[in-house]
Amino acid sequence: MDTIKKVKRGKSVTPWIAPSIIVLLLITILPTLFLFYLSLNSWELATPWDTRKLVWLKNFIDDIKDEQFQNSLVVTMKYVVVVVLLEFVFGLIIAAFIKGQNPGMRIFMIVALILPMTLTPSVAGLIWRSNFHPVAGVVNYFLSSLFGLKINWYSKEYALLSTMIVDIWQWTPFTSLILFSGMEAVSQDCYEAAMIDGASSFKVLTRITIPLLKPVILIVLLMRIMDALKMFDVVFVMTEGGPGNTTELLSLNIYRIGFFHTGYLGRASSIAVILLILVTILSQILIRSFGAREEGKG
Amino acid sequence: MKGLSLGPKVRKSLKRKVLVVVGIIIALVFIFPIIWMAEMSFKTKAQNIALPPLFVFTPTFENYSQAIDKYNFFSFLKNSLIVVVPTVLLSLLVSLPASYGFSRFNFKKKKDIAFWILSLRMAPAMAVILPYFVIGGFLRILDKPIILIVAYLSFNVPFAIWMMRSFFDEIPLEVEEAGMVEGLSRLGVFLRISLPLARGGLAATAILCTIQSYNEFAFALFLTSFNTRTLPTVVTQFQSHMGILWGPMAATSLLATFPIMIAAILVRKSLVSGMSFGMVKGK
Repeated sequence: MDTIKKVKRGKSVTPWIAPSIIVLLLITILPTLFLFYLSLNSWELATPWDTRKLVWLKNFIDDIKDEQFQNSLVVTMKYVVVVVLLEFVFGLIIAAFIKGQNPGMRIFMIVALILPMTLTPSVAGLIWRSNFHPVAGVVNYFLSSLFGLKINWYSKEYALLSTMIVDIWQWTPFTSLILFSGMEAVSQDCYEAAMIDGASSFKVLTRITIPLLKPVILIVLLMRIMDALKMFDVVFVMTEGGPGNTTELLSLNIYRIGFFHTGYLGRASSIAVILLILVTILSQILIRSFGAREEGKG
Repeated sequence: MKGLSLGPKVRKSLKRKVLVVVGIIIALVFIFPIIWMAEMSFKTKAQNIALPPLFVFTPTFENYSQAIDKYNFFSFLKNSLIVVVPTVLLSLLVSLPASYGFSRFNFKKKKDIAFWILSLRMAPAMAVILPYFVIGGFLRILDKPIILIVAYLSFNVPFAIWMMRSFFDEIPLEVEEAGMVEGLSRLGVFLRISLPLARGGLAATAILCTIQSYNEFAFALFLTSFNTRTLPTVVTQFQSHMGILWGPMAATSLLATFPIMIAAILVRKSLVSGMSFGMVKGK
């Protein structure tokens, strides 16, 4: 985008952006610095603030040694890999389907996809908790009448899968709509040229659509990875991390250590710092790749 | 639609029909759980645990009167609005000039600052909640609307700056230059020309900020307890030792989410660009 470089009136940008920067420093950077400080202390909830003790990196060392933390890391990785991969694949397929539809059907599908995304996450968690009810839930009703299957979704084996299904249900619309917008932006000529050459739909997808969509795909993947990494609400409502620790994602591990079983706010802060670092690394990759793209635009 | 195969007409129309049917099936997969929630809200307690599940039944409005009278739906809605309205207005007040500044000025480190702001939007809720919880305790503002209003600014401001920036970028410079020639100051151009031209984007930004604040769960759960409970945390309280009260829960959920879903459909064109911070343009 062009910008007015030097205009006579009001050439200083400071009054325009300074208020927002001051607000953001106060409400985000200060608390983050305080989080770092908390993470270096041993302090329990409900004890006076003066009883805190500076323990430096002990909390982090405890985290790494803690089996439940290790478990949370593994559960989080599984969760992120499975949901993001499937949301991407389904999103690509659905985007291609929307593209093939007539205008009326397009709007119908887009509206249908918007609804899950905007549904209050805690409500989504609750509805699906009822849908997954082993006896009275609709999921098992459909599974048993169609395939003769009955799954105990509340059990240790299937709880994590059930939370993943909800994430996929709620966020495949996001990947679908963004990829669809990306496809619409790809020049129609490319497709026509390929069709004249007699390329199959599959070839068009792998040889033309995907390569041209690369930047959009990168954005979609990174945004979904970041959101899945910090997932809290839906899983909290569905399982509270249980049964056992089978669905205890990092955010839920922080919740349990900081607020629920114990009140180790120092320990919880150190895990939050680790999560923050993971998300920051990913957001930097996202931002760099997007920055490179903007540069390309000139 | 341009068919990919060049077969005879019959095959083409058959293919089109299949496409429509599959499209409808895909759409149903995504809407069914919401329709099912709506059905739950009109069922009696017995109907809600019936085996096999009932798809057709005589509706009852009992759950709605319970949600409103017994479970105080409107007082919790009020709690939500007391937080959401100020946080959205404040976010826009702070973000609008900033987004205009990023769109129309060149300055040192512009890109770095813009991306720093974007990265703030991506911080995990838990990393913000812990310090807010402790600081809120010091300041004695836990369980008061003010703490949620401030906490929600932390994701609304970066979001609104990026989204509005992409809308200001779309306004041609010539329009603004014409205003300047006529003697308007930079502020005058912003208020009289750019802002009115970007009003569609402004409405979309306001609605998206409202949706994400209204839906927010983790902050509300940990930073409030009794006096300021907002709707997303209230719906989880229909769990008793007898199990979950599905009917009232579904009625409350539907009352709470219906306006949000309508608003989202209205701004569907801006939704995609909004959700990707203006990185991908919506269609």
